[in-house]
Amino acid sequence: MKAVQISFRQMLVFLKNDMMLAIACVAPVFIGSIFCFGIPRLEGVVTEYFKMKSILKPYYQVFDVFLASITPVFYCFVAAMVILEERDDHITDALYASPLGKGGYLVSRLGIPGLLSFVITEGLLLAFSLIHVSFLTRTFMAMNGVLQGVIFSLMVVTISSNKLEGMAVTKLTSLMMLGVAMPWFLPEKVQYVFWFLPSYWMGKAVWCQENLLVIPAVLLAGVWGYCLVKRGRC
Amino acid sequence: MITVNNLNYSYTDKPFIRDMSFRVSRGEIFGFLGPSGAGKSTLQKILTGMLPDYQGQVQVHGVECKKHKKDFYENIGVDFEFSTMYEKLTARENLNFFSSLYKKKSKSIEGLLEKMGLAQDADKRVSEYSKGMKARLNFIKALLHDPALLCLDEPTSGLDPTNNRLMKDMILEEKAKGKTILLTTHNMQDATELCDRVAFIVGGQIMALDSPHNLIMSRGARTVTYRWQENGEQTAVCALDEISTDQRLQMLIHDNRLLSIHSSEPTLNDIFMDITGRALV
Ligand SMILES: Nc1ncnc2c1ncn2[C@@H]1O[C@H](COP(=O)(O)OP(=O)(O)O)[C@@H](O)[C@H]1O
Ligand SMILES: [Mg+2]
Repeated sequence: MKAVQISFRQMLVFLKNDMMLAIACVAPVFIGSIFCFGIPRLEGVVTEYFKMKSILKPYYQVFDVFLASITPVFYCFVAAMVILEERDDHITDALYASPLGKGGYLVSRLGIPGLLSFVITEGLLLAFSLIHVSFLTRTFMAMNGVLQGVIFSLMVVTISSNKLEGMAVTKLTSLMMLGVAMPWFLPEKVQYVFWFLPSYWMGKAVWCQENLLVIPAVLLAGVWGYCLVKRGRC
Repeated sequence: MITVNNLNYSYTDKPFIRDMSFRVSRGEIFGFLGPSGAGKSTLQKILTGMLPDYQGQVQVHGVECKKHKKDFYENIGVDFEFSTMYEKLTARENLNFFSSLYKKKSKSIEGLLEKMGLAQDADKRVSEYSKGMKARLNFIKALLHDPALLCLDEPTSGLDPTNNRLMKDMILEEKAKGKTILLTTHNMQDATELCDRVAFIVGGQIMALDSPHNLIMSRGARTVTYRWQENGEQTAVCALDEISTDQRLQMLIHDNRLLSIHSSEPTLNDIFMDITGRALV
């Protein structure tokens, strides 16, 4: 346990030396505050200009689910980049052959950041969401976002073999998140094309206001995670 | 200490490490000698529990490697064939981090840096280190938690003669303290000098296993080469164990006409060539 803590602390030291990753850690706060303060104002401007009652308002919840998905993805992106750089420098080998071990390493690089990003997402949603939702719904949103984030980092570290490739893969992989927006923009029949994305069910859950839809999201996330861990020798 | 029985392993479908069996006892320096790609590092990874999907029996400190618990590593120090340091951190920061992962109290980092001639550069970032400095730093990392078993993968590669000597002395010092040492190398001089026993490894198989002395002696037609003056300079060679039957040599000795005489024995390299049909490097 001590080794896991130390290894996590080492990750924070790592961030201190990497501006880009440090910025990625605070980015969700900016995005959240821009959504929270910017969108309603923008709505005011455009509705007045086009003389319409509402334009963005029906989509307010999309911003909320988007915030819930993007926040953990930022932290998991940071974790994935740290993992890739540690792999480039062969540090993962040294850590696997220490009392930390492979399990401890993954807990310190995916588990703890995942948990922390859950807490942060919950907090950001509370502070910045445009539409008030129940505590339960908010927690489900944050939980889904985190599962998605962990899958995201597993994907990045499995597919790419170094940090540079990791950046490229990140751009592709973040498309997975777009599933959350589908229920708002695609007709119901077409939407189901995206059934395999956990993010789609998360969006659907919020769109239908049906918390039970969190079940397929979690199950799918489990399947994705299992396959990635099996496939990748990270 | 280490028991390997019928070990088989492969990264792919094709067999690679085949049917290896050997034992290493406490306090021994055991060498893996072979050309690159032979499977030395792979073998070391199996022994350090990093490749658990092998067949056969591999026990280190009485623990089957694929079933090791975390404290397995409290008593194993691994020096990889490449640097395993955070390039952006200083040497000291790296060593502090790695030593803090162990429950055991660390040896003096200061002392080790001093001993390996890195004290001056301890606060430099590892990215500014030369290859030889990195090799020494990684060696220190393996020693930090004072493990009973040291696994050193080509520790002396990239070192200048002075530091090579320094590191070999440190290795012998650890042996004197009763540590067991696995040493991977393709440098036959280091192997001859350090190892109690060596295993010749080619293509994932052990081709020979004995002490360097025995290996050399087993093939060892030691020879004597001598020179004398007779219509210009002449040279002749005779087998050491037939020296008394060489009439010319007897006569040259009798007449004090020898210009030079020396005996030579095959090196481990020659033996390696003999047994495996391959050069070492
Ligand atoms: N992770 C890996 N996956 C697949 N093949 C590997 C891996 N590591 C090493 N190999 C292959 O195994 C063989 C032996 O490698 P290695 O044990 O590093 O040799 P040595 O240390 O004796 O030079 C090489 O052909 C190498 O390409
Ligand atoms: Mg090797």
